[in-house]
Amino acid sequence: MKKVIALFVAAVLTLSLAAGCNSYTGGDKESEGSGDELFTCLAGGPVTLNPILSQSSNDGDVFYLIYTALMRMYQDEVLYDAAESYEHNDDFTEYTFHLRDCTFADGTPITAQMFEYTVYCMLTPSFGCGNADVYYMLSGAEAYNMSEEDGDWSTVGCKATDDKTLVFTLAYPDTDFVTELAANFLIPLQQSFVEEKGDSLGSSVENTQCSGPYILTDWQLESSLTFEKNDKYWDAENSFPVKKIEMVEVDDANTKVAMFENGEADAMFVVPASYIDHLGDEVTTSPANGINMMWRNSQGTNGALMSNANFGLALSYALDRESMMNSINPTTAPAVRVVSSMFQNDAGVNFHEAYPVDYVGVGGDVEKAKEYLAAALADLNYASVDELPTLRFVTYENSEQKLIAEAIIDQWKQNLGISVTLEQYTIGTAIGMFYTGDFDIFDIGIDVGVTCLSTMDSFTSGGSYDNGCWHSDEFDALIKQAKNTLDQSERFALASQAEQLMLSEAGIIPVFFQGNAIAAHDYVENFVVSTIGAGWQFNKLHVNK
Amino acid sequence: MRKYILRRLIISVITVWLIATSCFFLLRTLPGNPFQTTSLLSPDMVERMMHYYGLDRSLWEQYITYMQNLLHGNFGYSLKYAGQSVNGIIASTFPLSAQLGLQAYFLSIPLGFLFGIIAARCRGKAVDYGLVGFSVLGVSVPVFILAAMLQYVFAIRLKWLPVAQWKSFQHTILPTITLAFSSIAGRTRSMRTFMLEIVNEDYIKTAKAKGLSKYKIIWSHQIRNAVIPMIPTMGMEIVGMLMGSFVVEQIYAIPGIGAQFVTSVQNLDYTMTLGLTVFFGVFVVTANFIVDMIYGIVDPRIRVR
Repeated sequence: MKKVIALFVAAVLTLSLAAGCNSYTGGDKESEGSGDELFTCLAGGPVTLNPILSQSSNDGDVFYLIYTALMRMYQDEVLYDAAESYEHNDDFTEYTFHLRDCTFADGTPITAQMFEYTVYCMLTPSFGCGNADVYYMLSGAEAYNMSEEDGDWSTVGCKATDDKTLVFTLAYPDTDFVTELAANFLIPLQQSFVEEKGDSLGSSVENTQCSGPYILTDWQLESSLTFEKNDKYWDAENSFPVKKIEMVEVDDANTKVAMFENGEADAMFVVPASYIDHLGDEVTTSPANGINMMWRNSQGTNGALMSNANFGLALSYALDRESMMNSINPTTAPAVRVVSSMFQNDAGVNFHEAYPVDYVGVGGDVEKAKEYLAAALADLNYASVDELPTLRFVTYENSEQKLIAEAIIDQWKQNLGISVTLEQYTIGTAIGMFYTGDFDIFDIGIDVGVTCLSTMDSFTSGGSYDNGCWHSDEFDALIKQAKNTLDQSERFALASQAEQLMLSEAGIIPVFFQGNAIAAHDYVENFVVSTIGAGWQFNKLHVNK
Repeated sequence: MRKYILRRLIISVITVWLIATSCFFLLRTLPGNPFQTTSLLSPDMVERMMHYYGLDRSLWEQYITYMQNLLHGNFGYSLKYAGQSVNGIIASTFPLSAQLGLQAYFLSIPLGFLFGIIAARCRGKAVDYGLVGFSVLGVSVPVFILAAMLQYVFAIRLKWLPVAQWKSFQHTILPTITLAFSSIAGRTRSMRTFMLEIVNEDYIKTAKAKGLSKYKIIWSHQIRNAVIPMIPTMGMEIVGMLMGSFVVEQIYAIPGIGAQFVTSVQNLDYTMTLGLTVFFGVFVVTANFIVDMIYGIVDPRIRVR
């Protein structure tokens, strides 16, 4: 009996474990070993390839590879794509783009009318586009988009005058228009294809009309993507040299790193902060297009306290952002500005250096924080800090976010004696609480946008981040004036004034600028992801395997 | 029997309706909306999208539309994955979870029973202690720790198997073992306990007195009777395994239905969460219905109640 049992156990274990092992030849098998192919791990893949309904930057990463755009970004450089030239009038209110001969992957010629149709789809209310505001700089666009019913398209400043010419008329002078257009990645849509596919547009490979450097040949939702080089792309000979790209979505950080180390992946996006030192030279870090900041709720149960500017400044000055972020995530940079350090003036000088503001340093200033707190207590007739209510710090569920929130709360407790409780919710619920004002302090990361004005523009009345917590007519006026100013140094100076106002009134409290960490084995060259806009910028990628 | 089947059928339909209705209204009590789950969006844009997807209509109106579609087996379109039907997503993700679940299930049954029998037969010996230790460990070690260990040993050190993904049979081995592990451990303990309980039963003594061989007693009397109390739990266990495991699927990058369920709730994807809940509900209710029918056939007293 014992022998029978022992034999059976051995047989089951051997069969279940070793059955498949014979033919598996190790990790390197997965990435095929060809210099023309890239196999990489993703942190998050696309949810739709419908450019009208897309809301995720992950979708934008795919668009960069499969669609031809009018203009496209490569790092911080603007490149021509379907457009071969453009000109603008003297006051930067009219831009005319001239298209080259280029086609979709199926050979259909791309025309200027197709770009106009895309803008039409994005701005026409019945198409339900959630990103329509990226084209609000076009004259008549905002009014057209905000109307209850679909209005008169001829009122919008976007016209294809012939097959090769596209004219944009702007609502105000905008010297950054071409950069914005490239970052927003305006692609051509063929009306007949959009109408034929209807609601299923962009929901699968068959329902997507590729026109870019790659054709999407396989897409398993939330799982994997396969791209093959599109030889009909106008610049196929000179750019995007890799023939085939395979991507697999791996949410688990340990698994992703294990696949990379095991040779199952040539490269990976979004390296978890805890693995950056472990992976050493294979990791590249760069600033990302985002800033994490805190809002104070001036309209909640503790509204009087939270709307007090001195109290807001006390909260901000009490933080040693540098030590905190260095220890939690070294890819980030402590933020004591609203405008990102990525922006430079025409002379190549960084915005932060050219336009300094009077605010706390990255190391914090506890003495000054205590002074601001004392002033706030006096303003509000509190005898001591012990009388202050316990505040609610609301943010979304994320392990790193938890560490940051706890570090902030601890510093407030240690440096100011303020009691704050942490509440974390799933991101959808947390954002819902942001807009309903169900918090005292709310922390989240936001995009810094394409220009130095982009972030602050969203804080003006009616902007994306205007939840009623902070409002300043003077701020609105400065942003409006800056947007209408052609001279760059004057515009930057106005932006800097607006930024100073926002920081002095503690309208928001910046915490850190987000960072990117990607990893690639040494045989992978120019594995680049976007810093402005979205996109896997594989224009010069080489896999020398 | 026909009356009994009809009654159980009506109860099953009412249960599914209750699941769909309560889930529909409970989901809407969550703060936030499906269009602001990745970034902050201006209220005007949210309003535009709510209108596009018909979410600005009254809740009752939406409920009636949903129920009408549900009667036709249509779960609607996902609010996150634009253009993707919930039916389509279930159709592409469920088979993977079901395959993983079935593999784990059919690995856990023979091994669990076998280890339990061995432990019971070798009671008090080193093998017994070893298997009891294994079963305690198997139940208490978290799945993500076990998965990481298996990946480290079999994929990174030995390079026998891939770290993750769902491509070939090799890719399914580690997830299967991970999912089956606690089930094997639990079954080992149960089988050992039931086997030992039976040893002193009168019918075993009778069998011994009749002069039956040791092997015959174990096979025909001990094992058969020990398995009976485990059968009811095995039915629900298979349902649980088929529905996928969020943790196992996430660690091994398997695009299964378990991961979809969790992310759809996080994304406030109403139609997706509802569709998956109703799908799970129908599955569980059907499984219960079948079990009830089998009980009714096996034990006529149940039909009377």
